[in-house]
Amino acid sequence: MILSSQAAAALARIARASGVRAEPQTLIPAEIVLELSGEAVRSRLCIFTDASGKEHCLRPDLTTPIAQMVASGALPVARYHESGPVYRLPPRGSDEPVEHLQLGFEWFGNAGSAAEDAEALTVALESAQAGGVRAAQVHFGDVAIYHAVLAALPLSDQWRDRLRRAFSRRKGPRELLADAGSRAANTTGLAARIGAMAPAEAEAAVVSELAGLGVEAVARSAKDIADRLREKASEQAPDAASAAAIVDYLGITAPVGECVSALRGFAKMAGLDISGALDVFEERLALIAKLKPPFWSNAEFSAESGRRFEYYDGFVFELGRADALDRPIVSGGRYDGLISRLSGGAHTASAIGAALRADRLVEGARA
Amino acid sequence: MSTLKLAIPSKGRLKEQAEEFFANAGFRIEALGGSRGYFARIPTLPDVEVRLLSASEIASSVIAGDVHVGVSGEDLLREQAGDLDRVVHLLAPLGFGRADLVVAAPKSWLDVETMADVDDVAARMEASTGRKMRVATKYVRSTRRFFTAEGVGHYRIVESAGATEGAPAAGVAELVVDITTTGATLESNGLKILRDGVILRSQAQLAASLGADWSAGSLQSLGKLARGIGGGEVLAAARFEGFVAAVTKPQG
Repeated sequence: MILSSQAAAALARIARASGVRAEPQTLIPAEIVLELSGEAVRSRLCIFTDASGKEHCLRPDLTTPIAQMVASGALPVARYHESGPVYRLPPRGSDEPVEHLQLGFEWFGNAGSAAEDAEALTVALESAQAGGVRAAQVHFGDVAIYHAVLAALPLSDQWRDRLRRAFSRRKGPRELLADAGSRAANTTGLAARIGAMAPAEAEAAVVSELAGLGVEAVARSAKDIADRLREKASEQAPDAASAAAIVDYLGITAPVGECVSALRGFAKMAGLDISGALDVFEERLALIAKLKPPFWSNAEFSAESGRRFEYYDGFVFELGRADALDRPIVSGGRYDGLISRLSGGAHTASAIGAALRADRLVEGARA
Repeated sequence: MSTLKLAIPSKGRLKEQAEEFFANAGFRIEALGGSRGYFARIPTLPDVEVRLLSASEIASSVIAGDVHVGVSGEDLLREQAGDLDRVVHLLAPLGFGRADLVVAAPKSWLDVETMADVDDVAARMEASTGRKMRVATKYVRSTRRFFTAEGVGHYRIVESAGATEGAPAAGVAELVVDITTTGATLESNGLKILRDGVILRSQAQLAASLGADWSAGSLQSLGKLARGIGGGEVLAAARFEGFVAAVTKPQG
């Protein structure tokens, strides 16, 4: 693919800091993308089924195939840059192209750091500038602070897990909390009765109940069902103060210069010790300030940044025109958990990356 | 084109019920070219060309605008177009072909009664086995939309060609999304419908295509049809007026 001069300039800036060029496959197993992002993305994928019924898809981004290569050991843990076409079916009524050119980088390592976050952001923003972007705004966040808020609140393990996975879903944490009351009232007589028993007794009760129904245990053991009935019976919905703290946190937005005090103020008001996550956040901002990346002076913090991506688990950022925030030119962030997930826990690596849309560099170049 | 193209089911119970419904409204349908022909006519509506198609073909033809109006199940229409209301108007529910599209889980899952339980168990299965919960269905898009709206992730769809209700017992899926009238087939396969697992209460609909080639003549024929089947009810007629407004608005 021939790069425009803008795209070539952007890629040159990326390449200076980003090791060797990775050449991921164009056609990848659909399984990888679906496992990672869920069935909800299926309608956007270009999927092919082979004679054996196995599904393949055109890569919807470059991060997924490169991360897969690192997770499988085909590529060593290192810094990579990339450019090439990616493919997403547009929703009906959208004039987005199916194919667009993506530029970017993925830095894998043994330990991510605030310094690496600051460097990655700077490379991404400078490459957009090198690609001709003039008027654009940065939105950023930190998914790790959300996780720290959940960890600091007196929540049951089930609710902490639910709220964590709801972050990237359309039915998000707020909607989940609004439903919490009806969920608590859900347990029927049988479930409550078995749920109150000791483990062995509960399992025996499930076995006898299934015998009474005349059904066999399908896909899950009697023990698993008994364990979960016990969990359900002892489950506590988030208390009003915890629910309010989560909703308050997600509502935080602030200009870059005021966001640390906004977050510290929130922690103090809510009585939460999230100082570990906030210290990292503050250190990162100090390091970014020293590097003076373009577009940063009017950056805006939003606690909900990163909700559109399932795999980000730390610093996240986007650059877009202020009048088209749903069409980012640059998206990036930290995804330290991804290699472990893709390899089934066999490998771990810290990771941060960013992607630029070459077709949107032109929009960003307009005043 | 002044002819109105109307598609009705070509076989089975749905065909009989559709013919009976139209006959009761004063629109007796006469097959052309013998009982196995693919075209028919309505003597009382000479400007209507009747096509006999499968219910699934009718849904896609109405969505694509190949016919002006058709009789098909709402389940099929919604499965074939995620944004159905932008391309098709449902003019009148016809009161037959009733079936529910539901989510069903193994009866042995005593702890699972709601979609929220499904999400918890799916996350739990993935954490302990590394594999996502599998959902067998022919209704891929409807399933995806419903699960997203209900906040369920961590699942994979296994597309089923038939006998979906047997998938859990056969070990190829854990959950089933399928159409049911009485629930008896699900029940006899050891499955239970989740309390909030009704995706759609479907029935046959008179569905009009926004994308078809409409003329004053074809709209007039549709009006006669809508008023006729509306009978004493104003519902179909009122929706017809809304539909006329939608297809005759100036193109932007």
